[in-house]
Amino acid sequence: MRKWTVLALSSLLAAGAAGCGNSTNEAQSESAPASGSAAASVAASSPEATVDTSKKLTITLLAPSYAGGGWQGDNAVVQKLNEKLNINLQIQWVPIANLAEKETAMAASNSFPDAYFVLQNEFTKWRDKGVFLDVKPYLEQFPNFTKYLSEESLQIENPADHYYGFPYYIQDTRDSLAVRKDWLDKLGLQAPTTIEEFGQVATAFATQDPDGNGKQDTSGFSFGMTNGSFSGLSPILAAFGLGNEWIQSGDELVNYKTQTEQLKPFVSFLRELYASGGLDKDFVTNKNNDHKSKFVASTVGIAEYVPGELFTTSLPNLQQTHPEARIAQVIPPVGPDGKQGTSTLPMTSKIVINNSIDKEKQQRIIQLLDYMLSDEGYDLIKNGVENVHWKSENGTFVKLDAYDVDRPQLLSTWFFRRADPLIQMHKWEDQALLDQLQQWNDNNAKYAWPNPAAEVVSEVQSKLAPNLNEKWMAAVTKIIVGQAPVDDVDQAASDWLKDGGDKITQDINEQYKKLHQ
Amino acid sequence: MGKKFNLVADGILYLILLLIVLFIALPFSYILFSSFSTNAEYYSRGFYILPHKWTINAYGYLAMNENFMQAYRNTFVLTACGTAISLGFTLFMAYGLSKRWLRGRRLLNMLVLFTMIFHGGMIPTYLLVSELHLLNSYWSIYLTGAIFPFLLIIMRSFFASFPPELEEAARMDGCGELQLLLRIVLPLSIPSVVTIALMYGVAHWNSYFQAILYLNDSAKWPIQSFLRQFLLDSDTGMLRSVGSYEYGPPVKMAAVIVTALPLLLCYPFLQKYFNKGMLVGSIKG
Amino acid sequence: MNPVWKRSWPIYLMIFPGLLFFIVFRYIPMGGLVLAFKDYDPFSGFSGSPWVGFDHFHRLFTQQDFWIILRNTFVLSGINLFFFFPIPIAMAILLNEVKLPWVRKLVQTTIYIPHFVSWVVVAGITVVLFATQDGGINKLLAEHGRQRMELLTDPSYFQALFLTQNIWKEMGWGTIIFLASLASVDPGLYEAAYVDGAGRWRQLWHITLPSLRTIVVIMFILRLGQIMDVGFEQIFLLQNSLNLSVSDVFDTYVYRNGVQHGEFGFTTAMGLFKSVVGLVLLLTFNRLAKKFGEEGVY
Repeated sequence: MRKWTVLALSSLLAAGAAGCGNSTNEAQSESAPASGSAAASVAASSPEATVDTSKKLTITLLAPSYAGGGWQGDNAVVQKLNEKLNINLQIQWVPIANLAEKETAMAASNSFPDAYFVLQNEFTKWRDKGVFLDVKPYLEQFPNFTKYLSEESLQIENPADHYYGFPYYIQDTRDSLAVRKDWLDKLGLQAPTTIEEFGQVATAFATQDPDGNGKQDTSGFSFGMTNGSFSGLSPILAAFGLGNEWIQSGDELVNYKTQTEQLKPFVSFLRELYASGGLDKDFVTNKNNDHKSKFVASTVGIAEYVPGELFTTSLPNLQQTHPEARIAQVIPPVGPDGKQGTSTLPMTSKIVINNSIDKEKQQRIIQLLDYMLSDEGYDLIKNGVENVHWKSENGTFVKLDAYDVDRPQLLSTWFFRRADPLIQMHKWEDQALLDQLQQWNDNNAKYAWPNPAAEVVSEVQSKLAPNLNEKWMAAVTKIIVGQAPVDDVDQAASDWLKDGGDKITQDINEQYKKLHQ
Repeated sequence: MGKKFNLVADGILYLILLLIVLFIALPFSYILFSSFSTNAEYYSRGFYILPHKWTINAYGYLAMNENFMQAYRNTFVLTACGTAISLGFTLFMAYGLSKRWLRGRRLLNMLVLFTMIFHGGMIPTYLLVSELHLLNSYWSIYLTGAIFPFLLIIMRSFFASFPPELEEAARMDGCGELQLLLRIVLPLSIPSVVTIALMYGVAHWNSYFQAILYLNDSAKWPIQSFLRQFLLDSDTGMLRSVGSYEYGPPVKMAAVIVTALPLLLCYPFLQKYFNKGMLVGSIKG
Repeated sequence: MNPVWKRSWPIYLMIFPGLLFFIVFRYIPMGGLVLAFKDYDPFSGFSGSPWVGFDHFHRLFTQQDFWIILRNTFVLSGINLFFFFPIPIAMAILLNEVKLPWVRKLVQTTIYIPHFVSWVVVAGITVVLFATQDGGINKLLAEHGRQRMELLTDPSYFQALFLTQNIWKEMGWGTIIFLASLASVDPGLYEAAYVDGAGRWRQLWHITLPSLRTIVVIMFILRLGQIMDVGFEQIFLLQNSLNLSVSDVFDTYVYRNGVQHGEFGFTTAMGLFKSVVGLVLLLTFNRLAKKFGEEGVY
């Protein structure tokens, strides 16, 4: 018995030593013979960009990934890109949560990939270190960048005459409030247009049993809190005249946490709603997306959504349990002073090219990115490969099953894309759905509520703000749930300023003026 | 051992255990059974134990997910090799350090202990791994986590509890240190070796960060790297129903269950080693 | 050959690979601790980054909530040490008393399972059970006409919730090491005690407990070394605006102020501070343990 155990143990050890390192086959041939036709077709399809593609190049590209992870091995899209541009594309997918850490480690060991995705913090910190290629000189030769991404978006976070990367497009007025139309109908209500009506509808949803199950188990609306700021609440903040983080007041930028005039009616509004049940009693414990799950669970009647996500994922799930569920858009409600607005998201992430690789490769990468924006290339990275992921039948497009398995749209959703508000919608989608989404988008676009300081990165802010914001949020939450009087807003605001907010404000204003000289 | 069955004492004992089991099992059953639920039921029911409608949809979805399956296979390789390597390093070193007569023992122990408290941090370790050309290789993971000082110290104290007479007797018989360790000490330490192996196994099974950091090719990542992203990162709508398998929260629960399953299944087999107390005793007696 | 050396060299040989590991993979990277005194810039490297002296520490110590954060950390750590720590020991002893093998196996396996459930999922179940409006417990309370309890947001429940989560998730796992210790107790000792007429309590007192003493002391001292680590993920997920006054701990503070913005100098400094606190406690208690005749950890 003993002998056997020892034998087993030692053979296990031996096996471990022998068989554990079999995973280093990184050697890739740098220059396989080029297929002439591929090279030729590139030249033919984009006459402006005459790039010599006769040499096969390996291009490493780092892209962020989210739930589900990136592609493994050779996706059909990668193969197509490889053939088309005579490259050997190797994509490193990094979970978005670890992106900054991994890139900092790469920076330390000087091992950046050829092209990579960077977040605002790293982009602004490293912009002037000479690690990113200035792409501005290439824009004339490759016209798709200015054609499909606006010049303004290229300028974001960049000095006047250098563009150290391409913007990752985000639709600014993407998010929209959605309301349960069937609940409104049942209670004989209209979609709210003012803050007052919003409050009435929310309260009615909590107290008048809109789902008709005889129980008081619904609430009006919900939102979340992350990192010391509200999420999913922007139309309400805007209606009360509060800034999207910062607001122009005279010559100065002011933080919304100190707009006590506007904060008091805002906080009172939420406080009343909380007391009446119109505001979800559990809003304090909501993380990022919990308000959406509650909407899907049919326990909350109003929530802020990305419309595409609402129609393709959440509504179908909701209708499985509540087939009668219908959705309507809530136009950003008008506040007491006639103000209205919707969250305006900044376009702050960048796709950058390694400045230390050779010129030829850099040009080929720009060609690749340019191709991704072209009609043919964008179709490829958004809809996938014809007859693999979709096919055309009598003039209409049909999605194939491989699309859901392969997820050929990853590059366009996670890495690089055109300024395309319907990025998640595909050519086979029902026209009625596309029209509806377009309608929601158009409705929202009128009420942009931008953050004037979105481009500004302040070191003072990143050092002081996280704690201050958490504390401010704790104070305001206490007021909303009725544990503290409304007038404590003054205290919260002055604490915020006193403990460092004034320094942040000063620095943001200085940086802002420097940027907009 | 006293075999008398005492009605009151044992009654209380079993009652306490029953309560403990319920305390553990009820919340867990929510995870288990919601993985057999439909999306609809998951969203609409709040806390529940048994689903109204049973489905293995979630498991089907996972089986169809190539990323999940690949990561799952990787984890088996990483865990088996990682544990074997860790055990090798740890057992030898712990045995050596358990010798009270060894010169420099105190210094070595301090060296080990110090690393439990002070860490160089992520970036210097990354640079080292990069300098050693271990990036993109599983060796980066095996080697950077080869010894857990905590487990080394535990193992050392297990070895140290051996009676010194045993060693003397073996030496009389002409046994070398290696033979002593392999032929006598290890077989007598099965419960503790199994415990340490289990601890390493579970640690390797649960590790995710090193893979994300050191391996550029995400096809080599283990299941926990996948699972974390699956549970924590925002869902960008890239995961959709595939064929007849629908995607939703039950799939996440199923992923938790499938990920934990191999370790849950192997535990009952290891248990017999924890319950056997006769090995050491039979020698001593 | 020198007889001492003759006896020692095989042992040194066995230690060598492990020692090499510690030197290469633990001590060489420790050079990176200089970052605690620098404003780290990855492009300038460790040596090129500018010195900032004790700036990072100064920033921590002058932080107005420093004492609150430190207090919260010690309180939660104390809860772990004095309330959680004994539980796996008690559990191991209970299991040791069970005579029906199948009961023992069943209980052991059940309590071991939650260790494999990640904190995200534990946090999810916690909300499903304890939320004020939709939580299972409060729904039950409401149905019976009782007052709902704000279990997740009322700061006075936070510590109990923290402990409960810990017990649920880690009790069974923690038991293993003590069970292994008990497994190596000579059964002959129990036989002898039984023959001498010792009852169950006396066997427990004179055999079971003493056999656990060494391992308990070691575990306790090692835990003290990690006094500043109270489980970042668990707390981060359990934290909200209303319980911040008791739930904000050192790790969540460092996460917000350093990790999220890639400030490696600051995070290294914070790690160093944690280590020093841990080291002081560990050395103190190790000395104390040795006074009482225990082996200690070194």
